[in-house]
Amino acid sequence: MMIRRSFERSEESVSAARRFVAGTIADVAVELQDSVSVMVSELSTNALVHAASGFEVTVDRSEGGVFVAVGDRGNGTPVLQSPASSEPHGRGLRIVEALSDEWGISSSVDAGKTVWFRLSLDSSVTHASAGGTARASVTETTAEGDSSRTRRATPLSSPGEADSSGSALRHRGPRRRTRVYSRSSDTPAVSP
Amino acid sequence: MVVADHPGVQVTATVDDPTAPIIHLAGELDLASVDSTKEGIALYLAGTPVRVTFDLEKLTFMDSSGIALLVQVSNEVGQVSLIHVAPIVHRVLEATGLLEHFGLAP
Repeated sequence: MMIRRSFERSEESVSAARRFVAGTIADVAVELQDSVSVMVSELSTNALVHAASGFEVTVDRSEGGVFVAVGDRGNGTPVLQSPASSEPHGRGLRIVEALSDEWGISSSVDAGKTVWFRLSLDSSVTHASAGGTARASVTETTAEGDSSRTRRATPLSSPGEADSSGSALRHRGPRRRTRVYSRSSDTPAVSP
Repeated sequence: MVVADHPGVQVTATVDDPTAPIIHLAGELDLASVDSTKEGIALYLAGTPVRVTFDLEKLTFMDSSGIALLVQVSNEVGQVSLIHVAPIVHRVLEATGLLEHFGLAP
């Protein structure tokens, strides 16, 4: 089930987006709902603050997990940062990094960007916290490129195959998605 | 108990000792509510406290906007502790490696 909704450029849209996505996963464990809510909040906030535009949220809920993408019209590319404890800002993507199974950025020169994450809804899967070795991917597409290929490259595992493709997600090893490049989380992505 | 209403987050405080106020936050702390929350707590920071405790028992949501606020207060005051932290808030603090910074067990 894939649903999509647009949100206006308003601070209130952050909580509206949280509730929109929460409505699609009301049946799963509370801690997973919490993680998704926080990540939606972070990506929505980034869209409003950095892209200064409204944003569009796409949710693809399947039996095994949930995929959420937040697209905006901004040109800058979000950067995963490692702020010192006294630095107030720069933790949004760090939170997405810690709470998701995988996440990435798709951007194109003239059509804005989309930041997405994927989370298995199998509550037996444990999610690493800060300092993990997850890899984030940045896929840049040309105007005629198909950024949706990014999503199909690594399908969600279903609970029944947790030991095959599921383990790849849990351990967050390198993926085949090297359409352009993929990097470790400690290396800054493209400058904004 | 002093009550100051703000959209999104309600700020109240227990000020038995002005140098160590306990500030209670209730509601959802995000981009939309962080500025009003900051205004709401300014009153309790005016007396240059040496220690501030945030009681988050009724804070049902917080993201990095809220973390930014807590870090700012921490920079200003020096010692900030969090008590009664809900699981969702605990998870965000854990994800950012700030549990110990705010006096919580890792």
